[in-house]
Amino acid sequence: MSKSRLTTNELLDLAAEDLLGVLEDAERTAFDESAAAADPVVQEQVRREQSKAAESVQATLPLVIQSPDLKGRVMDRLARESGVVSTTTPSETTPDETPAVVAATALPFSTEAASLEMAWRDLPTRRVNRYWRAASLALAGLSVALGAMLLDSKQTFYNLVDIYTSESQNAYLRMHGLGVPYKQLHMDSGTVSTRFVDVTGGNAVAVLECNEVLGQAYLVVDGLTAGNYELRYVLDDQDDAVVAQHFRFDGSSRAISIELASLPAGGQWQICEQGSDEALLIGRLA
Amino acid sequence: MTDADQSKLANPEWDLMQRVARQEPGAIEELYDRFGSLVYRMSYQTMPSRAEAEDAVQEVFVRLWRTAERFDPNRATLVTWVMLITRRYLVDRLRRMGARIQPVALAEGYSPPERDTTGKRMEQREQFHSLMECIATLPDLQRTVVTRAYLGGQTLRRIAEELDTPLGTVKSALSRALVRLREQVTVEE
Repeated sequence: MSKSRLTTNELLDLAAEDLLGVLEDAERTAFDESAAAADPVVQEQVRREQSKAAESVQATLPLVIQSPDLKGRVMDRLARESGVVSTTTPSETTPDETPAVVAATALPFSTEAASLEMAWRDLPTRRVNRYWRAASLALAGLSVALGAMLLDSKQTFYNLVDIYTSESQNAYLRMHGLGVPYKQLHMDSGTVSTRFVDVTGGNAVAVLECNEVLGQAYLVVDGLTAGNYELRYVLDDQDDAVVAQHFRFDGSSRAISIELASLPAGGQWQICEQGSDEALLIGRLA
Repeated sequence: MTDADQSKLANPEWDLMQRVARQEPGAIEELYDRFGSLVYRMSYQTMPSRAEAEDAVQEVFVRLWRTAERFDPNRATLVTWVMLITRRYLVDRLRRMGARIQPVALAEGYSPPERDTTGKRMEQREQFHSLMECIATLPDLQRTVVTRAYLGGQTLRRIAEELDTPLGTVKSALSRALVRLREQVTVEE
């Protein structure tokens, strides 16, 4: 196919193939150039054709959950790719504070660094006695250390990113009576999986894995907006949930322990925003 | 300013991609939160291993970041754009790998294996069964074209040459296959 502009029929003809990525290089270039130059009516037609093809593709995608640490690795990769270090120095900072600002702007995709930079720039400038500053910093450090020590050990463990726990972590869980680790439950032949479907048209996925013999269940969720949710089981002939548990999703998938000893029958699982009756995901047995 | 430009400025998806292009804090994270799962599922379906799928996700988001400024909501919705970038990367990678789908397995038909009750691997089952159950119901030519193009990354021209079938026939088969796959999901729901 030549690299000259495509006709409307040719554009629509190639729209699905472009979405699937199967055009040859020359076709791809011609398609991109022609679509960009097309009038709005034709662009809308191309957009509709590609949306239809996209729906078909999404219909065939497997319901798999990414590793909890994948997001972090992607962000790290993007930070390395950007590799930008700012040379500007905010006028409000004092000379001994400059290294913090430079560090904060070195990784533009690091939200923590950006927050640090923004907070730093918002601080009012004033003269502080250096002894008072030293005492303040020491007290702040001590309070942080005490807070860390008082964190609930179970919550600390479930904040760990890697759900494929190491043997030392398994031993820790058993020692502290924290139940069967997710890895063990996932691999057990007696575990029953309930797969959820996003009924809002979004891309959220979830799997509830329950093992009656081991007496434990885990919910793995991905693709939801960070926030507070409710997992509940509703019988077909009733409105009230027979099982309900609140959980918080922080934006990255991890196994959430569910207090469930056995699976009820004759109904469906639902995941809703806390305080809402509208199901976002509905689960059925895999 | 044209109507198209005005509608672009009011489009939240365009705004997000502009923020990604400007490397504003939180923008790329927001993009990942919305589409990371989709990109991973597409990669997992196509790549031969989980590790390569995860590698593909990284590469795709690098490309999404680099091309963020070029996103035009008049051209495509953001989800279509993300899928387009993802598919182009996956197909390019497949072509570099020289990936080929064995047509023999398809010709012999597909039957779901018995439920694996020992050491089950949910993700591996899902990867294979979800797609193949859909494709297995298609007529022969449609099945072959979809599998070679979608999973193998072959161009339609090459598929037509190898099958000794007119290119127009192959294109029609792909088009009909996509319609049927979409209808299958609508019926099941």
